[in-house]
Amino acid sequence: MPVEWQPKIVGFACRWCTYAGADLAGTSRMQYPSSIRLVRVPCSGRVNPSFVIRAFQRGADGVLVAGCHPGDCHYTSGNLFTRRRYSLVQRFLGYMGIEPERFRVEWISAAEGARFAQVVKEMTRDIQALGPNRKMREEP
Amino acid sequence: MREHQTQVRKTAEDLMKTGKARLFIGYTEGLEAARPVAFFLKDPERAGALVLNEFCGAGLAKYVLDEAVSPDALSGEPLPPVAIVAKGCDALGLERLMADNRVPRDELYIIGIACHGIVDPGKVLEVTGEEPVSAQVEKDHVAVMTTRGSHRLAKAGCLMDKCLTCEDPTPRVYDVLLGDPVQEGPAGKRDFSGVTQVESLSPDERYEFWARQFQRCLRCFACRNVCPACNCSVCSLDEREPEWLSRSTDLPEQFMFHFTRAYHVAGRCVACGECQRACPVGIPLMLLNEKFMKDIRDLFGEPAPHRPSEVEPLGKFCPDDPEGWLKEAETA
Ligand code: SF4
Ligand code: SF4
Ligand code: SF4
Repeated sequence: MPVEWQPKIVGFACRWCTYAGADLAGTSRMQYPSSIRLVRVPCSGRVNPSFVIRAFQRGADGVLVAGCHPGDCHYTSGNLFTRRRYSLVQRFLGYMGIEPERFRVEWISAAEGARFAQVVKEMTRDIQALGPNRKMREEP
Repeated sequence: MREHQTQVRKTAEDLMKTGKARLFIGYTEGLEAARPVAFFLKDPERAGALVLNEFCGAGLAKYVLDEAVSPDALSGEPLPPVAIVAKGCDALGLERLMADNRVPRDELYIIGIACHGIVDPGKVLEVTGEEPVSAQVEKDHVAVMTTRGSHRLAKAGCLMDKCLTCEDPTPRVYDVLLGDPVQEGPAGKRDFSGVTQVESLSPDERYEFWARQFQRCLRCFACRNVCPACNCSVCSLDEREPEWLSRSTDLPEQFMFHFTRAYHVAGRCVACGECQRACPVGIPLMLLNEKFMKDIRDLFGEPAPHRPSEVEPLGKFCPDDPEGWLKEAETA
């Protein structure tokens, strides 16, 4: 049986919520695909949209931006700016031709290890169906 | 518009003679009759060289950044303001610069023009095969004189793109206004039909479309230079080794550049259309600006285009903002 192709997913995770949530998933021995590479950021509001585009250009097949639920931001309002920004950026990426499955924004708290595992599973499955990203891609 | 030419000359002469302005920015004859160029008048005797007609489309707003430096660097004396001719769209650009604290209101003396629309010489050439020399915008059509005859053209077919969706034909700020205020743009409202058209393509088709557009980009930065919303005093594009964008014109870098340009003016773009007009290779930049404009309107209920005096939509939030990211079914 041929080895199944594994997408590369870059996940920008807020250190207060999602990163801790991912930790919880790990320490609770939850199973999720190894397709995700997490980048710890101080806040989802730190994720400059250029990071997302660069990630796609340098080899990501999918990108996840994840942080605290609205109202729970360690810095009070960082994720509320994220919500505005990425509502626009996600649509704009689509407008430039990136399939919506390849880019997700999720609120995942430190207690939601299972949710983290679930999101990674879903993204991996969806992107597997699409195949590798070739758009905006720099030649390796 | 031409009917105000005499008044513009007179105003310029007065302002310069009485020392009420230190510079007058307007238009003068270019190499072709239908392509007037920017004119920087310092000598009141030369006011007769100023022109104002149905072809004065180029926005002048951005030029004030090069000129508005008071007090005088040498003497420390406060200088009189810079006078500038502004149609509705140009005045929005000036408002943008003022809202961004790039130029104080009292540094400007704005000669507002209530505008009925500007004729795009390229479109006339396309429709008639002849070079236009003069034009008059009437209520329901445009009378155009070309090198070989006269034509009666539909507004939609010969006015500049920006005029077809103009919502502010009368400047919202001015010191004097020439002409009676015009309530409505010459040809209808912005309907975002271009954006909807791109949205209706499949993701692959959309990507192909933009790749085709972006690979022509020369990175001449004319679109930035002319844009009143792109007004940082130090621009990362001018760095020798910018951190986030290389000088390369490879396709990935083009996507990065065009995303960045459009995102930087998202919520701040005044829809003056200057970027697209200035682009030497005809990249439809307004389709990028309008996409943000449309989504900002749909998601956050902000008017489109946004008026600069308000707080920028991306500089604020509401606790109950929607989550605007679309799932597959909604984008298809
Ligand atoms: S956009 Fe409006 S104000 Fe500007 S030239 Fe056209 S009609 Fe006049
Ligand atoms: S992006 Fe284009 S339309 Fe918008 S303000 Fe700048 S030049 Fe005008
Ligand atoms: S004006 Fe046109 S060619 Fe020049 S940098 Fe802008 S988009 Fe590219």
